Amino acid sequence: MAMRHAGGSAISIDGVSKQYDSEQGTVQALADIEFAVEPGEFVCIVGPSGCGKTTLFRILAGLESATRGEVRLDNQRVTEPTPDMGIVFQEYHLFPWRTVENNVAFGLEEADDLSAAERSQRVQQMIDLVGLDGFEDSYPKSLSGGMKQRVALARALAIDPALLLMDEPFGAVDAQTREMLQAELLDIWQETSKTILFVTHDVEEAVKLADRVVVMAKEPGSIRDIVSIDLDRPRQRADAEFGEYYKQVRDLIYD
Amino acid sequence: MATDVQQEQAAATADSELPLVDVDFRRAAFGTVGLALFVGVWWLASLVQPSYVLPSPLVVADTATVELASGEVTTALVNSIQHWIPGTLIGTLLGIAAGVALGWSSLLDDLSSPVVRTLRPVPPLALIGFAIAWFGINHAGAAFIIAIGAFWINFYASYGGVEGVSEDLLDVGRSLGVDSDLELVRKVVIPAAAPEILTGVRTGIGRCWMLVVAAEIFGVPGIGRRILRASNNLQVDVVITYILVLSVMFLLVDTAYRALQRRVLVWR
Repeated sequence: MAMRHAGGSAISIDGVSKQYDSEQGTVQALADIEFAVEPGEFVCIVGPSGCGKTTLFRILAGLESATRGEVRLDNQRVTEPTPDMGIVFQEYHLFPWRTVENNVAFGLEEADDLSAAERSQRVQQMIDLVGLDGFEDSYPKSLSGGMKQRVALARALAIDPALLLMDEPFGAVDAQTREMLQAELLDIWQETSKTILFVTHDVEEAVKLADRVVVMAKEPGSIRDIVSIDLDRPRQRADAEFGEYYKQVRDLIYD
Repeated sequence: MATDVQQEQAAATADSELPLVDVDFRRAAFGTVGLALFVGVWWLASLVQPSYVLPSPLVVADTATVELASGEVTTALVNSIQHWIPGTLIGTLLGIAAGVALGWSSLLDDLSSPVVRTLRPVPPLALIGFAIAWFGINHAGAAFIIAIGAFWINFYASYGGVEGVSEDLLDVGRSLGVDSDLELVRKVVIPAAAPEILTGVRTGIGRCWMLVVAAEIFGVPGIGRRILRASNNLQVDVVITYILVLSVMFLLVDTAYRALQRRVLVWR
């Protein structure tokens, strides 16, 4: 498959606000969120629960609309889900009736410019990339959480999106698997030069992965600060500098 | 390869080989005992009742042999099948189509809700007048009655199945480039609702065998007609014989369907 996007691509969030009408009156879920992500950059969004991370994620993905402001991907306004953005959810949301192979192939079936041979080659490539060769014919029910998330990642990457948008993707797997998946995601990121926007509530995860960490505050959901993490990878939790970044982000969240 | 993948390798390969029909011998043994008990109680009851109220199993066996040998059973069965099959097929397909359409589109649902609620409580038997007027006293008329029964069961099963499809799966489908409703229904909604839809089909198949009697009440020949005629003549042994024919047919079709269903839903 010809790469539609040589590198990553920039996404910008311009003054996004979201209001809900509830029984208690109008709730301001997000207030004036503004930041931009550079092509190929890995950005994590962290914040306390209730800060509107998931709402922001859904607006970024085009699954929900903003009350004010807009999201632009490649300078195109995002109003609905687009194959230029690969989405990975915490709960995987695999198609249970499809095998691993057919889950990964789902998005490619929509691409008319591919021959069947190119398609299956691309699918195999993605399955190898996430380390699931040998599981092509398994159904999701027989996979562990970590493996399901690998399938979801391969499925999102298969359509070669400019941007990967991930909502607490490793929140539902055990600590050991999470560490492994984090390392693999970094490898995949370096290999494919995708832009990654990664929502998490785990400060350590954010400091370990991101080029920059967007720290959110709640009531209303807004940006408290954006912290650049100037550390070489792979990053070690035990490093003194890691600890300093960790403390800095943590203090921003809990002060 | 990562360790969590390796750990899963054995487990995943183990359950990929699912037998098409698994025979549970314990259940089969208990089932046989239960059946024997039922026939025993029937036989005991028949001892204290005159034959026109409750013939003994032996009398019924004799009658069944005669009916089978004379070809009466075959004739009746061939007749019934000629409206059971088209009635069940058409009712099932239309029911699924309507259930999916209304379950998916709230516009269609709102539009048709009053009509649906008006027609829903009408028993198929009450529509015999229409069957005669629109199709005549023939297989088509009987198929119409059967189709009505199949329609509602499949309509509600599919409707419920489609309503229960997770919004998240639809989001994933859209994010992977599915941009038309029709495509989303075909690629996500119907497969996701398949377990409910297929359960509806199974219930419908059973219901349609029951409706064979109602569908033949106005003179179309078949098993139901034989049962009705024998009832009028107080030939209870003949009635039971043809009830058993219905039961055996249901059992055969249901067993075949279940095997098919297991195969289609192997992912569950």
